[in-house]
Amino acid sequence: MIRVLLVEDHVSFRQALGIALSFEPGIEMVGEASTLFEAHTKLDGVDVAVIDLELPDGVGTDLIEPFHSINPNGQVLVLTASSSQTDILRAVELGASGLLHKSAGVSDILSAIHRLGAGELLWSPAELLELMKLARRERAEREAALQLLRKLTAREHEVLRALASGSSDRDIAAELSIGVETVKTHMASILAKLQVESRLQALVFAVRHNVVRLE
Amino acid sequence: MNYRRSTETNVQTKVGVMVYAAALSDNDCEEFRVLLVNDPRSYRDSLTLALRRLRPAIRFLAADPDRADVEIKSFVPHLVVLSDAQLIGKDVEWSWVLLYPEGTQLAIVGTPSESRRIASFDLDELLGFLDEVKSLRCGAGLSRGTVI
Repeated sequence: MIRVLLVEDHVSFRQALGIALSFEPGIEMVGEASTLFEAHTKLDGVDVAVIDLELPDGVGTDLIEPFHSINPNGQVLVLTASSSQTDILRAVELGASGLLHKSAGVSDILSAIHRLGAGELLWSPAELLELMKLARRERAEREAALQLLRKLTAREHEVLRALASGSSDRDIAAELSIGVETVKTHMASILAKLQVESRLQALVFAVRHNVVRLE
Repeated sequence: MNYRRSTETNVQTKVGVMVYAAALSDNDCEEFRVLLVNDPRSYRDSLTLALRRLRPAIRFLAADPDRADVEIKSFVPHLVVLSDAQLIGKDVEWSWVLLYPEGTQLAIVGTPSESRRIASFDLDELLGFLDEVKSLRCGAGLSRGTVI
């Protein structure tokens, strides 16, 4: 019997999938949880944990390490609505054994659970290696970007946020009670520190690394 | 399926639904039909499987949202589970469950005469609403033209 824990905050889906799993030969539903907090109390004695990434109190990947420390032979199947490569790579890096998009059918989920329960990998060794390489590269890029962003002063961050809201130099100057020429000086400094050539590139960089949000 | 709209617009909401239910043609409840066209597919598939287990007398059909219009015309559902609010026109003749709009936890359930929001929507809520719609449309004692 493959003992399965479902961690998913959309309750009707979780319950329905739980019913589908409970009728599946070879699978035993041993727990359900809506939050990370609740899931932490139910990790013991689980063979396969099916975990949603977006939970009300955090990210599902935060469960992967504690799950493995309690169940060294257990497997994690991430089920997500996200198509973000960052999310996928983070899950792989932390030790997820498989990842399915929520657009998959129930038969795909059942098949993945059976395969993981039988000790199979959902990724081939070559795919896993490639994913790990990508994860390392992305982490290195993220760290390099963070280093550049740390060079910005608090005032330069304010200018960048104002730029993201669509303000002109004159608007930014008025908003921050500084001169237009000072705004231009800050802009030049931002471009140099972020190693980009235009305001648009600076904005894309800032958005990509969650420094500003576009309204 | 031809529904006759109740002219009693001032009755309380639930009574309004009952009057509406009473106005159905006699053949409407020989087979209660539920169409699931919600996204994502894993939700749709799981709900369909679970509902078939829990309500074996009801006919359930799951279809891709892109086919919703076609299936509504051919399957003629009494209740539609969906995630695209745009499908709910003002003159729809079916009841509906709008499930987790914009990724929220809530659902909005509606009949042709009323709607309500349900926070933290679970399977019991879905079954309760399904049974309520089925009972109002097909319940004993309600025949065509019954005055409530």
